[in-house]
Amino acid sequence: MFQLTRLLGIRHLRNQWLRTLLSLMGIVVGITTFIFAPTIGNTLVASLDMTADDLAGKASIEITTEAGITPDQLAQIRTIDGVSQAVPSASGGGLLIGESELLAFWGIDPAIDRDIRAYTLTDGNFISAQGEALISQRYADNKGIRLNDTITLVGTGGVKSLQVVGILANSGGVARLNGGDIITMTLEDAMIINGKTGADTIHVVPNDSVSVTTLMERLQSALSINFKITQPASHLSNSRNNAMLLNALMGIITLMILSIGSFLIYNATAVSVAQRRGEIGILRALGLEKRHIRRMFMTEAAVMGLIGSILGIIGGYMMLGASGDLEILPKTLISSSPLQSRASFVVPIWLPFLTLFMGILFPLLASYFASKEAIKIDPTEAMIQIRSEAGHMPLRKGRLIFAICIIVGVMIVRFTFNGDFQTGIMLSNIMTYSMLFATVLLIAPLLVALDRLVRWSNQRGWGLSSWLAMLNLTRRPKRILSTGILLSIGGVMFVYTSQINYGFSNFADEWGKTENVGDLTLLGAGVNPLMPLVTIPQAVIDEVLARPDVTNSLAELSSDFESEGKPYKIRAIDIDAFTRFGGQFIWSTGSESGAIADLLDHSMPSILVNLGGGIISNNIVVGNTLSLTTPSGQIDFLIVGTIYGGMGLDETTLIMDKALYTQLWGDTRTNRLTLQLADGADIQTIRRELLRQYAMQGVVVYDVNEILGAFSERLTSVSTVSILFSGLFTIILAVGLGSTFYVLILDRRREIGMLRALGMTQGQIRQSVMQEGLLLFIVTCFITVPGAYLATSIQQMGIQNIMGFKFQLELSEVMIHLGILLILVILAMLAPATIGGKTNVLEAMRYE
Amino acid sequence: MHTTNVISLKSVSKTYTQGKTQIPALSNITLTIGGGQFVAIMGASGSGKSTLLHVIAGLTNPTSGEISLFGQDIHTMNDAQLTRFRREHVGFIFQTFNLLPTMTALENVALPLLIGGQKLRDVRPQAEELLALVDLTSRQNHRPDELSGGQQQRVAIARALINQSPLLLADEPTGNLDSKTGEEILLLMRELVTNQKRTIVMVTHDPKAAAYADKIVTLSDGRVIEELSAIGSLTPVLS
Repeated sequence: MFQLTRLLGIRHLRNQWLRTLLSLMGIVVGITTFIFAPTIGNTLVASLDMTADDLAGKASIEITTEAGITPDQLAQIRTIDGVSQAVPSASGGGLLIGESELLAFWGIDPAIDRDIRAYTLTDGNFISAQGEALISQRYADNKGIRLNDTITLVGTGGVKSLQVVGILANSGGVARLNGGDIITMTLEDAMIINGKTGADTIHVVPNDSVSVTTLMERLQSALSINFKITQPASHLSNSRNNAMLLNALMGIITLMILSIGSFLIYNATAVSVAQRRGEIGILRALGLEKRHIRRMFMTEAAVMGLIGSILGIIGGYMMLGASGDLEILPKTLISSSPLQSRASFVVPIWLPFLTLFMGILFPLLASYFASKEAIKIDPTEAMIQIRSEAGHMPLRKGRLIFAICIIVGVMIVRFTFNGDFQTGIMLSNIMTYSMLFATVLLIAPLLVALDRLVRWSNQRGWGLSSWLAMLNLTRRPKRILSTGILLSIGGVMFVYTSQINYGFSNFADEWGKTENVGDLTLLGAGVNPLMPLVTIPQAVIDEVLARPDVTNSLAELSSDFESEGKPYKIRAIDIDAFTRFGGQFIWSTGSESGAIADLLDHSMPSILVNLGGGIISNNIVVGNTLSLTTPSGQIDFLIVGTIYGGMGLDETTLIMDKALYTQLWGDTRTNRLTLQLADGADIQTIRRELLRQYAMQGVVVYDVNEILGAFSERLTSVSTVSILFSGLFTIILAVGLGSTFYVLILDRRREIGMLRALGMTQGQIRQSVMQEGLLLFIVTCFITVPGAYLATSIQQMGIQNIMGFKFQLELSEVMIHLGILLILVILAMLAPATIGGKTNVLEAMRYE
Repeated sequence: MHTTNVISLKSVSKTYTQGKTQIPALSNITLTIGGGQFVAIMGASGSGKSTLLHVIAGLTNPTSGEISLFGQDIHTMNDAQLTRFRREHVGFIFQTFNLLPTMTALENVALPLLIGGQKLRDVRPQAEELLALVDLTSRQNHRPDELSGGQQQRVAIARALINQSPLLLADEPTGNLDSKTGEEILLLMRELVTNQKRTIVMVTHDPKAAAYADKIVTLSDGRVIEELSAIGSLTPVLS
């Protein structure tokens, strides 16, 4: 019996190849996403884990201190009971003469470092003395550097010429840090470039006889409180948590896409059941049991699921391959630290298996429910009676009230929610699904209202095409409801991803108009114009400010520091000059005018905080104080506002007046100097002049457009992922709508044939089908789009607070979304409408 | 008796191609049907009777030959012209009724005029009148799934009449009905010919149904093998 049902099922798939193909496409796109999305999240986490491994090697304890670890302190650590090895290192960022990109440097003790960290030489020898360096194969290839070449590196502390004595393999270990843009040298050379007198970090390998925790306690008691003793991966834990959150978001998107694929299967099966009524009747009469009938449909779904999943898995891998160069894991998004390993895409081993399982399970479930009708078919009736499927859309008041309650509940949560952001994101996920559910419940009542409109309008002579379209919408409840659900899911997800895309572009524009001030900006070399790492020498500043064509200047210092074991970034800005330049922050919370006054009033130290991942972990609330350990002692800073633009998942960036910073930290350095030039000055000529004069001192010069470009570039990697998802949604929505309407037309082919026989033209049929799609679009969008905005708003709020991007949509953009969706619907309807119009009358009349 | 020819077929052949096989459905048929006639086309299954009806209706083009309806050569018309021609001159009655399930009986009856661009409120009186003619006034707001087979077929007949089509084509109109309901439908069709001078061409394999016709054309292997006239007068005897 199984053989028969299998044969019938598979033969039907082959006969109805177009419908099979369209349903398959839905699964393929869903499964492709199922592979693609979790892999991105997984790679994000893997990159962080890899960074910890590459940095610490075999060590399980990390000791750091701001002042630097002297050789005596290192000797003391080595004497502590339980320490097997204590290996020093110093790292930082510098600029290779002639290059504008940051090169990370890594200083080690060549005698012992290889005991704990991996270095694989492809050419040359390991460093053994000062003045020698190793570079990665990738960097050597990119820059055309060869073995024994001499290169000169400019750092915050000085300049050092080094001879390349070895080339490191790209795979694994230190050579992978900073995406391979790294130079390894002796600790002494690194300290010279850094301008420090000690090592930054000591990595400790414990003896077998002692546990990590015990040794950490011993080390802490032996060393002063200025030493921070941690496990290597701990300082990445914040990033890791945030990466996991992103993972969760992608999971939601993936499930939504898979749901759309399942709806396609549901629709295809439901139509198949309707079309094969007669066939089912015969089979039942010949002795096929109900379970066999159901099995026949489920076999079809399983075959489609299997083929679709295999193709989708292949598609997922292909998509990952194609995205390999997009740098989906940007340095800028995860950490400002230059020492971060860039992982290749890592598809979790379980993912293809889970995908295959889900890819078969979802279609099986969809076909199980869709085939319910099939097993109810009475054999004799099916064979002798012509199907006349129509009904009224049921108005179930209970469901309507339930839907309204959901919406009201979501609105209350949205406008009263004041919890932490992580809870907000989770809550928002629940809200998104709740709104989707409410939307589905609301489709029927809206169509009932439409039905009443039909009755009113048909008396007033609406065109036949619109009338037929409305009749089809309101009197075929099952098909239309499932299509409406499909459109709703698509609508919600389209809004969701589009919102992110718009968020990015709007924010970059806004930043360009507000914070990006001045004519030219001098920067100490860094990762990019937004992350200067090298200080601008004071002599350079003095010379530049003495130029007659410079009328105004704005000094800023970006630096890292730790307080009570927590890392912070500080942007010390000359606030007064910033306002004089017409600069504005992109404000999130707090009173802008009051906050600026507070920042300038040093009697009560005040700070602004950039939104970012750190704001969550440090529970930053405007009006509270943040206690920080400064060289002048423990100071309570009043948090006077939060602003956008941090864009670091693991950062807490504090903004304060530069004068206050100088006063408390005793640090007068500047690594960003913005200049206003005299009217009529040739900006580009002056830029070239400054570059020529100061490049050798690690200073680069940018104009406002270049800085805006760098800022936008920071968003590129995130928006790339988001655009990819939007693209996937566009495809799946178009395929979903097109195939659903196509099967709807197949379902009524006989009817269309009759209408053609009675004299309805191809154009009238085409028009009617198009109008049907458009009406359904209007009905679903009417509730879906506002619902989606409401439901995802907390989520967006969460994302903007984690990433520091501002997501604010204008009404015009909402209209653009709707416009895009409308175009999508029209495009998706074109093919079914044309096919419907071209229906061959005789074939259609024979169609059962 | 019948003054003008409504339908004229001259050497009409129709061949279907299935893969590499040519299947002749109609072979060299020449036939004329006058106005106000009730003609039954009979024959065994596969004899080509439905194909003949479809060719007459312009639903399919002949492979060769000429077809003229009301003096117009329909075999030379394109799809749009044929569609318009059907709308204005031909009414259909199908074995499976083919009513639009989403519309009420009244709306179904009005459908051909609505397709022609008229408004429901304007054509409602006509539709109501025709529903009264087929004795379905009380069921005018019911949808097809709320009507019996006989009632559905009567709605289909009313629909075929609404655009004043002088020619009605019926494909096994009683095939899905019980004998009593079938008789009622046939009598109704007979009355339409007798009282309203419509022309009806009916495909059937039921001799009892054919007995209501004025003329019986019998087909075998796509050829006309017999034409019998003046059978309509036997109606009372057969019933």
